[in-house]
Amino acid sequence: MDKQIAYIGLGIGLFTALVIYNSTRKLELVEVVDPTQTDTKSFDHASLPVNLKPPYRLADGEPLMTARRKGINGISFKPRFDR
Amino acid sequence: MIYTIPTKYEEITLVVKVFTESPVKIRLKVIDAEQPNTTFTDRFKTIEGEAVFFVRMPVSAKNVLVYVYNENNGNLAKNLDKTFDVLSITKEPLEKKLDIIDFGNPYIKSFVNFSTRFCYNAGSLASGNYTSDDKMFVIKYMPIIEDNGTEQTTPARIDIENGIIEISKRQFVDYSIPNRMAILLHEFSHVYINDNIDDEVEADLNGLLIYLGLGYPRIEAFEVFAKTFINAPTEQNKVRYDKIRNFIENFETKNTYLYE
Repeated sequence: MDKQIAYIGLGIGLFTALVIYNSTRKLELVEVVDPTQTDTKSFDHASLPVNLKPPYRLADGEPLMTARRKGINGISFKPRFDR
Repeated sequence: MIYTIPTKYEEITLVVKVFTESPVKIRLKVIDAEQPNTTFTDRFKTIEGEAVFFVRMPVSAKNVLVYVYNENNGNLAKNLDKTFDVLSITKEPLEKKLDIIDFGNPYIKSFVNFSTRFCYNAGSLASGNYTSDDKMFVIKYMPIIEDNGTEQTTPARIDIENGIIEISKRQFVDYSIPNRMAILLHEFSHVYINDNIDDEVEADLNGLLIYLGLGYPRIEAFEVFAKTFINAPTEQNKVRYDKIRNFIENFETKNTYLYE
C-alpha cells in the first residue's frame, strides 16, 4: 500500500514537472533576416480556427436585426467612445 | 531584429527578456505573421540592465513576429545593433479571471465571442455590416464615422435605440487587438450592462472588468483611453482617465467597482 502511494506521488510529481517545463521552456530564437518572410499578402481567413473566424457579413440591403435591451422612447442618441 | 514564434492560436503570455549595458529605449511589437494590420502589442520601455516584457495574449495567431529594437537606431538585424540583447523569449500560461465575468448573462457570452472574432480580423475585413452568430449584435464597419458630412474623431459609438455599434475603419485598422477590444466592450457596456445608459465612467469600468478578466494587457487599455482623450481633452475625460487608472491598478487586489 505504501509502495503504491509512493508510485502515485512520484507519477504526480513527474507530471507536474513536465507541465512546468513545457510551459516555461525557452523558445529557439529564429531571426527573420529576409523581409519577404514578413509578407502578409497571401492571408486567407478560411485557414483560421472556428473561434477566430470573422463574423458573418450581412449582404447589402439585408435588414439589421438586434436585441435591444432598453431604449428611451422618441429619443435617439449615440454615446461616443471619446466623450 | 525580428523573431518568428509559433503561437498556434493558443492563449499565452509571451515573456521577452532583454538586456542592455546602458539606458536604452526598447520598442517591442508583436504582430501576426500572416494577417495584415493585426497587432498584439506595440509598446516601449527604457531599460538598463535586465528587464522583462510580459505580453498577455488571450488570442494569438498561428505564428507571430516579435520585433525588438532600439528606438533610436530603428529596427536593425542582431549583428548590426550591439546596444541590447534579447536573452530569451518564452511562452507561459495566460492568467485570466473569468470568475469575475458574468458568463451566465447571454449578452456577455455572445458579445465576447463576436467582438473577439471581429477585433482579431478587423485589420483585413471589408467595410460593411457584421453580425453575431445569434444575430443579437450588429457592427457597422464604416470607412469613417461622420455627422452631416463631417468626420468624427471618435473611433466608435453605439446607438442606444437599437444597440448597433458604428466603427471607423480608418481608425480601427491602426489599433492593436487589445485596443479594439477595450473600445468595443466599452460601447457594449453602455447599452447591455450599465444601470445608467449614458454614464461614460460606468461604461468604462464595466467594459474594463470584462477586458481585464479575459486576460488582456493592462498597458494597452491605458494606451487606448490616453490616445482617445488626447484628441478630446475635456474635464470629464480627465476624471474618466483617473478612475480608469485607479481601477486597473487595483484590479488584481480588489476586482470591485470604484464608481459611485
